[in-house]
Amino acid sequence: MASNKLTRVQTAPSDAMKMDMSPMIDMVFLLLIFFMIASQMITVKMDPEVLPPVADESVPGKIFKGRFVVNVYQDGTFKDVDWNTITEDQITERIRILADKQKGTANPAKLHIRSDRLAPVLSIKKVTKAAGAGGVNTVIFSSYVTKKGDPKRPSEK
Amino acid sequence: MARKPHPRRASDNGPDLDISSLIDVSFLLLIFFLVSSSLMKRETELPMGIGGEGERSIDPLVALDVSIAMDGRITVGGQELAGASEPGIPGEMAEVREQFLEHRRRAELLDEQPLVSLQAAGEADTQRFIDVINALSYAGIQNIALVAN
Repeated sequence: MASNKLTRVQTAPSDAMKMDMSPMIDMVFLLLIFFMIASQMITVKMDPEVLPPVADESVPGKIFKGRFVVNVYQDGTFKDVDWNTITEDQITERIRILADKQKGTANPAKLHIRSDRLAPVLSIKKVTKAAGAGGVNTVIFSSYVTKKGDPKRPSEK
Repeated sequence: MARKPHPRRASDNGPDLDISSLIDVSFLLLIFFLVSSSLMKRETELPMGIGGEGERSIDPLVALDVSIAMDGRITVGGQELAGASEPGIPGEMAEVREQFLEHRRRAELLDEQPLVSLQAAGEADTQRFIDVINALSYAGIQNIALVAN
């Protein structure tokens, strides 16, 4: 008789099998914190076809406002941030508009060149000259700190 | 005799914190970061003030003439310092870096801004051009003038 009573007490609902969620929450938080730290917000749209050169003195960018981005490709052609082909005259015109807009602000207009490492220097000269005609002489070159882990251009895959 | 009520366990009666919504939010954030983040190589930047195309300077005390040949050879002040091989290797640029540092020190002694006029062959690779810009950054020179070939 006593054993029946004991069994009833042991199988009461409060003692039913429970899943301990704490290790799972720990793991979720750990992964969450990892991705929050490791991920970077995309601030400039990057064309994977452009493989920037290597420069060990380069530093991570901080302010992305007031930039005019030009992608320069291996074949010497250049495109804007939305990957539309642009001419030197268009660069001058658009830079001039940007320079006027940014005038007097904390972030004056800058030219951001994302040039492929194999692109001819002539294209860079053309772009900087066009930007200079638009009144912007500060140039930012995209680069990688090291060659290690270089991505492949989609056309080479 | 009245029976003494059986004391209930704290876990049965105590205030329970419902953590299911916390887990929901955590999962939502985790999935967002898993989907939105990509393990891309991080791009960095090299800022430089570039003046328009002009003429080569005549006075070597005022401006240092640097040229990049079509095959990548680098000449500083008329002296060839780096060969055409292996662009993008900082070690190869050690002598060029030293020359730029020396130029900056000279300019500071004269209380002048260190000027560099860079003549680069149009056919040279961007990597070689960036090698020179990188060496200038190392020396703390922030402005160059691109001169016509």
